[in-house]
Amino acid sequence: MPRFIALMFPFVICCFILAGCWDRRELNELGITSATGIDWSDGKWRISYQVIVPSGMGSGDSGGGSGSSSHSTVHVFSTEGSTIREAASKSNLEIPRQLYFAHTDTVIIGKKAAEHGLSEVVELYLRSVEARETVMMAVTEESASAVLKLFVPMEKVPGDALNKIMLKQKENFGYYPAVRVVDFARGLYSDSRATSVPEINLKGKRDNKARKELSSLDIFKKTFSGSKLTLTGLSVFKDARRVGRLDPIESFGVSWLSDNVRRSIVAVPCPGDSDPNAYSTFRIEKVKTKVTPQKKQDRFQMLVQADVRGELLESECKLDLTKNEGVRKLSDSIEQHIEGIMETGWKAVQRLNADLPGFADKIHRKYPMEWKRLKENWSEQFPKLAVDTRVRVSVIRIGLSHKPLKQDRSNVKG
Amino acid sequence: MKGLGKSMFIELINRWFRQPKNDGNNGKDTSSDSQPQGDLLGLPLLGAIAAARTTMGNSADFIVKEIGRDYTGLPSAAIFYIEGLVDAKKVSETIETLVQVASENADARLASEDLWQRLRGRVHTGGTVTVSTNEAFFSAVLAGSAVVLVDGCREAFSVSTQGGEHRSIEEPSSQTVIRGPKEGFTEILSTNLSQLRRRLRTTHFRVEYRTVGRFTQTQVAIAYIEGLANPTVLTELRKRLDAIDIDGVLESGYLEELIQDHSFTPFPTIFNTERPDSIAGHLLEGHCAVLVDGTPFALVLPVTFFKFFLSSEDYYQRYDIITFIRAIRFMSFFVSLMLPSLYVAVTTFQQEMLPTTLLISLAAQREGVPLPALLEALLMELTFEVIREAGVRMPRVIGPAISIVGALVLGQAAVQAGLVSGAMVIVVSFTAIANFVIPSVSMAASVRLIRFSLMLLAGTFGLFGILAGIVPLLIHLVSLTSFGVPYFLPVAPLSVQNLKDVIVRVPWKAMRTRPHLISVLNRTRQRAGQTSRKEKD
Repeated sequence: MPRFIALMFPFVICCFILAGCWDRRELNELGITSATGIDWSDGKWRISYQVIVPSGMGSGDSGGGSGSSSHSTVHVFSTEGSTIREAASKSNLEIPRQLYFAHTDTVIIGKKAAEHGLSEVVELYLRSVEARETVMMAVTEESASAVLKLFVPMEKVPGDALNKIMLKQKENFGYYPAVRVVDFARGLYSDSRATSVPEINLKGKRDNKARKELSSLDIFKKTFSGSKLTLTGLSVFKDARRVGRLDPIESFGVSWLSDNVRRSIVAVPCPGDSDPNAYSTFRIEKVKTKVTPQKKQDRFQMLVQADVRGELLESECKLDLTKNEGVRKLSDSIEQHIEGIMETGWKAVQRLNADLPGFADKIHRKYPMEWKRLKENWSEQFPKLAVDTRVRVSVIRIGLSHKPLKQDRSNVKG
Repeated sequence: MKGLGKSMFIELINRWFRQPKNDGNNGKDTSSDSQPQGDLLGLPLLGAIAAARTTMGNSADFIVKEIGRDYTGLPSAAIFYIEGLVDAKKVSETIETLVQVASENADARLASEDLWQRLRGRVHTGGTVTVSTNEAFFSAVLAGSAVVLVDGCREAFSVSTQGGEHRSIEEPSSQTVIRGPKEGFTEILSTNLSQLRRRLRTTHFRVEYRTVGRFTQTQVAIAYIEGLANPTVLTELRKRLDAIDIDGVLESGYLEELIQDHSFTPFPTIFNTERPDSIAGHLLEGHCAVLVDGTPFALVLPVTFFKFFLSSEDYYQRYDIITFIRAIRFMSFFVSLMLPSLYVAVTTFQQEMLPTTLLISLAAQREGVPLPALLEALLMELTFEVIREAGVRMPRVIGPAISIVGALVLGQAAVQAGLVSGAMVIVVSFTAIANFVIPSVSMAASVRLIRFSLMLLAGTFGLFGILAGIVPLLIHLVSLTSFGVPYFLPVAPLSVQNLKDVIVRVPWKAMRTRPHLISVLNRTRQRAGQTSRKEKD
């Protein structure tokens, strides 16, 4: 037995030495990609990578703050190929490090690529081990590579910044959904076969000078920039192809219909107020939207019930909020306002004939038998659906002051 | 229980280090007996002195003083002792008495038996014991007694004059506490036993002596509390101690290795401490202790893995604080064991496990570092081990110099020179500091050893490698025993009642029983009828 162990010992050691570290990737051999851009033109995919330059991140030992201004924090490479992976592999021709996608935050898709179709992108993300399908998607009207080159001031890594903007927007504003690749794929494979991706565009000055300014680290030395990347709308996809665009309010309506609003703020005109500029602001803190398909004779009606709780942030209305009646009037007006937003959203999806709220799946679940018949010509049926919106708002707090300041003053005068 | 010393591992080592065949000695110890062959007690005095001197090889510290002159002018008696082993004051008093008695009786022409009786009767400096054999003569001399031989007598007597220079009781240097007794064991066995006896004033506290070591004749004491200690463990301990055949035992570490259940393990299966209060606490739990003359470190057995994470202070401080501190100790254990390997695995294989910002920050620090992460980690860890070892070995005067150089080399300079990344310095220093949290030095040492193999595994296979190291390690741990008691005791096999003093330390009022399997005979610490003062009111 001891002889056996003595014999085995060199073999065990050889396991370590020979197998070695062949598949190790040192951190300084990795090109950590913070964002990917996908463009399509003239039958070729053009892939852009926003690769982090670690030495530019300033957290190293290059002497604190001064180090950060000498290097850029990211660098953008672009390669072309007839498939996405082929384009990616061509990156070996020009990028000194091995591209590493596990920490990619955002994938930007150019409008042309979106209109060409994104099934290949989805396929890539679902099949590849390293590319994570939790990457946040955004569509841009211009080329994706142009967006990748722009800094978002305050954040050193633009890909990370865009990801944060989309997430924060979803949590606190609710106008656009935050769409990961996996959500996009889910939408494609659902019964509605429609899905949406927020659009990100350069707002303000869009000339070359502005772009040059935003693509240089010097932007961090300024207090103001004339143009910035902003979420401007919602791209609507059917069968992985971009078919149209929703403006922010329409997109907000769709968010309401599809129960995507977490917290948000609405400015509501005062009920029965002569002054058209008198608004009150209502902060929505909790929303539960329930969509129930109802069968009426041959047609389907969607009953959308939303339960909204929130608090009053500011009010210029001449309502006596110390009375129940005043609060009820206020909540009625908020209800009407939200129903109006839902209506706008519904009209928009009717126009595009894209089932973004996912009514198809609701019907499939509740009436599976009817669905078999319905799904053949769902695109014809969908715009004909009747939608009944019922919003119930409860104002749980009206804040510390009860009467609007305006009203107080007029009372004093009178 | 596995056989002593005959394990596969030991056999393997013996095979590798076997002696060449043509070596005539062939491992057989020819000097197996250090005792003299001739019988000096029957010889005339001068002959006996000469024989004794020959046996001791005319050692300079072997002192023979002739006492008195009979009518022929020859010495009537002689005293034998070894300078340094005896208390000089006691010996000079003894000699004074002997000379006085001898001169009083110089003309009396007493029979040698009578002189013997008178001499023995007048000596009051210490107890006297009759010495009637050659072996007894030399062992008494070597044990620090002064032996008196009277011309014409077949027997000698020894005077207990043990003494000499030794260290006084000091605060233990290795296991310090904030609250608790500040005295530690010394090198003198009797002092150590008295410290124990002072804490355990019971007739049940038992001490058994053994002598181990052919040349050193080291006194070894087995201490236990009758009725609490497990008799099977005691029997096994006696058996193992008696089976030891070695030339010398200079420290309890010899015994620890010779009597442990398993040799092929990095983990200590016998606890050692230089705190008498810790030994007393263990004896009260039903453990046995082995004290060795010449070292302040006493052994405790049987012990479990978790014993090495407890400190005697755990029982003096409030239980809630101690529970928190124990959590920190176990956390430090894992940090000290795995942090460098986790760092290596995560930065070279599983980068996706890190948060993006952390990854970028680490990548920024690694820019321009020439070595792969594994080598970087090994280099830093080895450097630290070198500095640590230097800190232990070097003369105390140079201490500050080493620490300055160490801190500068390890920390700032290496990072600034771009040889290692800043994060690696943090990892290595936190690992090193976490290692010092483990109360037992021997356990901390095993952790240091295992850390390196885990780092190699992590460098070759990433997180899978760490798992491939941890799982066999755990299997090994649960397979260990300490004098028949499972090493991983309260956890595997699960013993719910022992868990009250492992991760948590329950309040003393709830600690009603002694640990299961350690103590078998009498498990009650506090009588069940006892209630707290508040409950009584």
